[in-house]
Amino acid sequence: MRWIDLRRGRPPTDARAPAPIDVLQQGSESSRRRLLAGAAVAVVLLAAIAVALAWRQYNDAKSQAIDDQRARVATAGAIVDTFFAGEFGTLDAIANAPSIVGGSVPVMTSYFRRADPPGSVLFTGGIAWIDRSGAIQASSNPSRNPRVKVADRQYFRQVLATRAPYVSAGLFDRRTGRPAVVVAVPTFDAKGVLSGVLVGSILLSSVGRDGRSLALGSPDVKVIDRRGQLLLEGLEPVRNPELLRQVRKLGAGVLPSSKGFDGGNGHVVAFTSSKVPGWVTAIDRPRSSVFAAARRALMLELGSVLAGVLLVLGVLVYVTRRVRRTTETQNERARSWTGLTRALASANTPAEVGDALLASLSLAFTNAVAIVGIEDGGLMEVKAASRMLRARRVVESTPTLELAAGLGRERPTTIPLDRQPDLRDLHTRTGRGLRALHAVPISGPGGMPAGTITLLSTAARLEPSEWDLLRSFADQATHALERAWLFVHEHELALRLQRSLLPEYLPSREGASLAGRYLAGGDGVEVGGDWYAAVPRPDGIIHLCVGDVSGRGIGAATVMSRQRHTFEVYAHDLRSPAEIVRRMLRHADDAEMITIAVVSIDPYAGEVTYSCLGHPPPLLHDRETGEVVRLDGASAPPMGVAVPGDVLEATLPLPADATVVLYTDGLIERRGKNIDLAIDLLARLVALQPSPTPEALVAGVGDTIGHPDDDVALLVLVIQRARVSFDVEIPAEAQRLRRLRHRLHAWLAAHGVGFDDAAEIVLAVSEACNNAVEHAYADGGPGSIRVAVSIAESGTLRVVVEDGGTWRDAVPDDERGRGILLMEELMHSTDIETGLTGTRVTLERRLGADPPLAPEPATAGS
Amino acid sequence: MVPSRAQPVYDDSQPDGKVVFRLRSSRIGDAVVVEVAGEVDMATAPELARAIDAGLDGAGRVVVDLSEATFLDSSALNTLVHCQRGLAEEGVAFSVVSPSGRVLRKVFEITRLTEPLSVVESVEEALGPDG
Repeated sequence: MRWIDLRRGRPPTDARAPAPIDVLQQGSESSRRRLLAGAAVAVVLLAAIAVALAWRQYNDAKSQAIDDQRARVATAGAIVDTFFAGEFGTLDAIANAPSIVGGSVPVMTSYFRRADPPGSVLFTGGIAWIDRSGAIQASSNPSRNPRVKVADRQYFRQVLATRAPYVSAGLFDRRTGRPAVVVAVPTFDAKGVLSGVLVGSILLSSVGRDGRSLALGSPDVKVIDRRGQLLLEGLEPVRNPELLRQVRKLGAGVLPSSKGFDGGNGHVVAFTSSKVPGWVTAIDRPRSSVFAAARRALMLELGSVLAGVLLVLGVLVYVTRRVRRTTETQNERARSWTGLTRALASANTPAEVGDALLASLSLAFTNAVAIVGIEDGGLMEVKAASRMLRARRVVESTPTLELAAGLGRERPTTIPLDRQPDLRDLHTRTGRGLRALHAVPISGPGGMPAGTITLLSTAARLEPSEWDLLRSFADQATHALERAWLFVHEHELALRLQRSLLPEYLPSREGASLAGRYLAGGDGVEVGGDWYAAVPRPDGIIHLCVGDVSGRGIGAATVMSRQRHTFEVYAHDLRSPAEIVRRMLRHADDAEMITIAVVSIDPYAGEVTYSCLGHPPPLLHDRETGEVVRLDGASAPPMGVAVPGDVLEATLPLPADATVVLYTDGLIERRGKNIDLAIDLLARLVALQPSPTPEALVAGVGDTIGHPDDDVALLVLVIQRARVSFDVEIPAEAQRLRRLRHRLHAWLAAHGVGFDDAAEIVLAVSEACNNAVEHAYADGGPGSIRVAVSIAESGTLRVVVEDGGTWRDAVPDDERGRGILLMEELMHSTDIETGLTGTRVTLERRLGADPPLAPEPATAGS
Repeated sequence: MVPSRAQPVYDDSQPDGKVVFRLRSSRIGDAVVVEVAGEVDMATAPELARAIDAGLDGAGRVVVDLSEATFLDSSALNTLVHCQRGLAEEGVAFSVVSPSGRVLRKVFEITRLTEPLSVVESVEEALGPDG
């Protein structure tokens, strides 16, 4: 069996260059992007306008809020003014009452109690009459306090001086210590003479907040007296007199952004001056609180705008996605088509065509299980593929695959699955997912059916464009199949040619098994320039050779063939590898770059001799010690460069149990990989296996550094010296015998025969050979001698020496006799047969028995 | 006893120094001593015969020293027998040195040539009291 799988390890075609159809797709993609971007910009513009409007509204709302403040402060000021006008009116009425005009204190007191009883809301601090000396004479609550002098009070003095009503600034009640405002009016007796001052006290604690007597409407309303005290806040002084000054100066208005009366930043201050001289009514609020409503409105509007924008964008994205999904399906199909074109371009076998089709179909029709059947040698190869994994499993687990592939061999066909009894199962078992079968035929040479493309689809019918796509797939497949059949044919042709150039068989023998392999690199259509050869010489030496002619094709094959035959011719004639190589140089052209390794194994002498020209070193593995030696001690430049003087030769002892591996650089050379490490790897693989085969070595190297991409020739010899029997044929020449004796001696030693015994056996064999040499010369030309030695299990050594001559009578008897005598005496049995075709001497000696050497009287003197 | 003159007559040493076949002829008194090293077989025996003839030159005794020889076959024996017969006719004494106990010596014993060829243990013994 030879190497069939020549095409493993081809790199997958990388289809990255954009095809025209891809470019088109990119164009539509970019226009779609522009459209989307335009829509987004429009949305953003609309949103911006909405925001601007909202902002304007916000500003309007803000000025509205300020106007509100203005109105409110006007109202509050009016309330304050009205309040005090009312107080004055009341007090005036009291002052004109007869009780007061009468000037009687007890009458006044009782009147006061009536007019303003405790708990009255009118004058919460009570009313009192002060005589002109400033002593309180009568009061609405006199029992609470002794008479108090108030002559120093501003209101008293002012009223006395001006005889006009007067409102005091905020002050602390002299009797109760509570903050109050005092309203004072002059009183006159009946004669119209100023009799005193009538005062009404309004407790500030009862004014304002609770709204009982002074409902000002807002907790932010501030009433500031002429001394700058905040009347409604316990007579606190204003902390920001600067503002107060400004307010007094302006009279009435709004400061939309100012420090507050408490000195805080960012306040809206609305103010108006009171009719009470020097008083100011103000509303002082932080802007945040004034504009809260406006801001809330703004936020609401912005939120609405944002929500609107998001909604619109969401709709846009959704629509685009939908559009993209449909165009992606289109693109996927277009891509699958171009992908198929590329994949088919590198598909070299019908099976590869089928695989390429399936890959593209499952891309193009994501809603179907694709089935491709390709006729190959009368059989239909059917395979299925799909992105719908579950459906694919169902399809593959039913026996309908072949059936489905067989439909539609004649013309495009659609079959609803539920109408076809054989296929209904597919419909039900996929949960009614697969609905119909669509098939188109693939035609072969001469219109013969070559296969089918079948879709088991979830779609009940195919669009016309989908049919077109399917048909174009089938057309492509037709062309690819034609190419593939042609390729397979060429490939087989190349393989046959290559094999015809390599040895038909290798000369293995007992104890020495040889295996050679040639592995084509590249696409395997061209023949390569690597070769191997093994020549067993009649003298038992095995010459091994591996060579590599650079280049490929018929030229390289011719050179390779010539070199191999040259090697074989010289290998028969010459014992020395270096000499063989030197002779081969004569037949090499300078223009041809050839590397070669010749290794010569002498299993008897136990020698490995080798010579290399520009070739990676063969490996010698001693299987007893496990050591692997690189045969790199006799290297010269490659043929085409080397001259005979360059060629070297080196000799090593051959281990008793050895493996010799010769290979070409295709085995160990990979782009970007270290060759030295690869040779080490090979050495390890050789050492690991008890009997390495070329296949195992190629596979082992390939597993680690990748499959070879160049040709590989590989020759492996596994040799056990002890199992190799001695069988030597040499020219019957006297000077050849010495080497024969040495080799035989070494062989005997390797088989455990002691030195002296071996020496005696060698002498006997040498005597037999002497006869043969004489016979050969007697016939007038160098015939040949064959010496075969074997050791039987019984321990009997048997030597057969044969030649093609006849017994020579010209030699004097006594001289002939000595040779025969030596044989007879040294061996247990000596048999000389002379026939028409030659003489055969058979010698036997029982190893380990007493040596036969015992001079016997019977043969003495013969 | 030191050889007066020693010159290689035939040297077939291998490059590695291992002696394949070497002849050295020297004169000691009226005796010619031919030292043989290496293997004497069909291919080299004629050289031995030539060396003995060439070194004769009026000598009264020929000693063939095989102490350093590693192989000897019947053609070597035949050569020695021829020489011995030829020399005996001319009155030249002939002896062979081959120490006993080695396979080489057995060759003489098997072929009953120990006495005819005057095989002795050493050159001194070969040259003897009258040498």
